[in-house]
Amino acid sequence: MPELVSSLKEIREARGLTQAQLAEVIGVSRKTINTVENGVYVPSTVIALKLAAALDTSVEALFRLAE
Amino acid sequence: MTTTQSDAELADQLSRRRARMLPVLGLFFIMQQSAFWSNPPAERVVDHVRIGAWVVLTGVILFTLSTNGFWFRPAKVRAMIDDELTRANRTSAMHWGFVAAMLAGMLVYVVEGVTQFTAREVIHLIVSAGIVMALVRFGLLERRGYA
Repeated sequence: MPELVSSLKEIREARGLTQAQLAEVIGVSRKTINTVENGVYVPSTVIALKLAAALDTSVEALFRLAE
Repeated sequence: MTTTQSDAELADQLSRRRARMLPVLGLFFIMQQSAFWSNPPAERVVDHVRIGAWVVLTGVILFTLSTNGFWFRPAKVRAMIDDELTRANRTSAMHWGFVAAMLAGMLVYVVEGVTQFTAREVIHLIVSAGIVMALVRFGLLERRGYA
């Protein structure tokens, strides 16, 4: 299975949001944000879309498949 | 969908507490096994209490594992605690617990030719293996979220 590369941390920090604040906006726990950023957990399409909407970006900008 | 900061903080705090508690509860459950195996089954009242206590403890742990727990917390907080990652962790834990229970059953089936077990002992072994494995796995996965 291809590894998912996440740019979530960089984009979140660029928006000036903490993990807790982002988690609060999309209605998940902070550990979910943490594991997605660390590549431990691959989020569902719903969470990916919520993250993209909350950060005002696209899902493709947040995640890509490793080469 | 927005929630108050206190809800998010409370969910994080409770989730962390659960991640710390689950392995401890698994350890306590294992330690409690000694009370079962060190005393041969008898018909004294205390034996019925001991057996009943194990059933109650097992039921509470199973119910907590299955339903997320925190039943008296606000629905919004419970939803944040029981989010997508936690549900995935629980599914994985239940899978590992099922495999452990099946392996315990297979082991007892093989060893039965050497050592005699009562039906209660067999059930105790199989259920305990499944519960402990699910508890430990769920706890470790939840703790990984805060690494």
